[in-house]
Amino acid sequence: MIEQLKNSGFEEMTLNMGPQHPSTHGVLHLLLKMDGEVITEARPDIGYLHRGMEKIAEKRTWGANIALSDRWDYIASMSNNFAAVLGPEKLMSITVPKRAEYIRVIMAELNRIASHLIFFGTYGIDIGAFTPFFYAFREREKILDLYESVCGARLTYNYFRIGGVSADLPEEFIPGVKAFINYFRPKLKEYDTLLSTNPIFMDRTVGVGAITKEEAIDWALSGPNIRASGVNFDLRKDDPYSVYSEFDFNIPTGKNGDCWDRYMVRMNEMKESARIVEQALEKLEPGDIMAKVAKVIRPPAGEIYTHVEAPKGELGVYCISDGSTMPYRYKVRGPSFVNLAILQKMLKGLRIADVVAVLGSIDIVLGEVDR
Amino acid sequence: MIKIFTYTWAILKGMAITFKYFFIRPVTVQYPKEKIKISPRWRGTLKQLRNEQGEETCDGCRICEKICPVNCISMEVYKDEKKNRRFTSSYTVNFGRCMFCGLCVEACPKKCLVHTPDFEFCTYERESLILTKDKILR
Repeated sequence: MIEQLKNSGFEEMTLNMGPQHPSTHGVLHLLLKMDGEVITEARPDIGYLHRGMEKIAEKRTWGANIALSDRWDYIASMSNNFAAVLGPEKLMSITVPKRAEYIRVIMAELNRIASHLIFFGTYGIDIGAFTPFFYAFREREKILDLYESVCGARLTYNYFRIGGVSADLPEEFIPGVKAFINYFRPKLKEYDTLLSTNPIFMDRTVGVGAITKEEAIDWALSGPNIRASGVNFDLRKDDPYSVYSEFDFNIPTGKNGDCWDRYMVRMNEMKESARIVEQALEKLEPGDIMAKVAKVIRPPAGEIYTHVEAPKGELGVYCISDGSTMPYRYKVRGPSFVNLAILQKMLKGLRIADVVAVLGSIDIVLGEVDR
Repeated sequence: MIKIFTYTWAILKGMAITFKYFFIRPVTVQYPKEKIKISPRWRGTLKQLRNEQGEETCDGCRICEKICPVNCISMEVYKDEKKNRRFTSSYTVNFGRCMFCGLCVEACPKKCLVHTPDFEFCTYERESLILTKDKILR
């Protein structure tokens, strides 16, 4: 059939999707080679949001780099802060006070919920369901209000410091988090009725863009994307940083690695994050929030790689210190960037209508892809 | 036929949830008319405080200028021989560059640089985002 069409004058068509397409979650440009409705080649073209974060970092002090790290993955800034402080802390061998560690864990897990809520909302829009978006943002607003009461910002938190956190929790924070978790649990069931088990949604996602176990490992995926393929890889369990080894939580995994599995892994992860937050609230005791650190931070010369489990996957920072106030080299391993690479393989052979479903399911943030 | 039934049933179940929210107070805030209460820790524009006598507290130690990651603070310092301390003759913050990280407020040794809870500072010109000392010292 295709041969016949080619002989009669039909050819491949190049289609530009983005960078101003609303479903590319930012400024992603996809070059699609189409054979009728089937994609024969897909090439992501990135770099529209490139700000040179790694080069800027070499001319900023270690403390200022935490403020800059907010801008990598701007919907999960707390995890970025986490990755930015762990490296210098290890180099200077600082032990962070227990209270600060628990506060960090609460913040990072609440941020995971907020980030997955954005995924849930925007993925609904990508597929064609508009209502979940409003519900997801209504819940996320409550988390942002909690963050605002702690650190004074709703998006770029700049809350972690080398050796602790910048401010203690206000009085209304702990009851606020408890109220939020009690409010949030029943909402997850609503989401399942609205979207997860909806047959129209399942028709669009089940079996679409499947990644096998081997492929997921070969393409170095991380986060919910690799767990959906059945690989039980989570840095919170496999290489526990901070105080994650003290908590009891499960790691949700999928089976087939298709879009629906990737979606469900994130939905289940929100439940687990809520559990971790509850446990951390119980363990929270009064105490110091900052270790004794010199005002001017000069880590001893050396190099270190630290990684955290960000909502999108493994967020790693490789920094080299030459003993001065600024890092000599600051390499960021953004999970979105690595996860985006598999798109060119997944899209091959799919229909044009599935592009948005597949792209939405790997959950990228262009601020982190381009940096 | 069964397919039609399951799809319709799923839509109805979804509709039931959305219909429930008809009778609950809306969470939307009609912004310019009503405003949300803002946390006292909100990181808005900067302001310099005076002490109880109404004198300026800032002694021009330049720590905020040095710590700023985007170099948006600039000042000129002179020494007052009579009072035997330094004063700033000009103190300019370029809010077109500021990223509201709050590092300057945290670092201020005199605790005289603070955030205001303002969040509406849109202007028509870029020049009016550069605030000079008479606007910052309040």
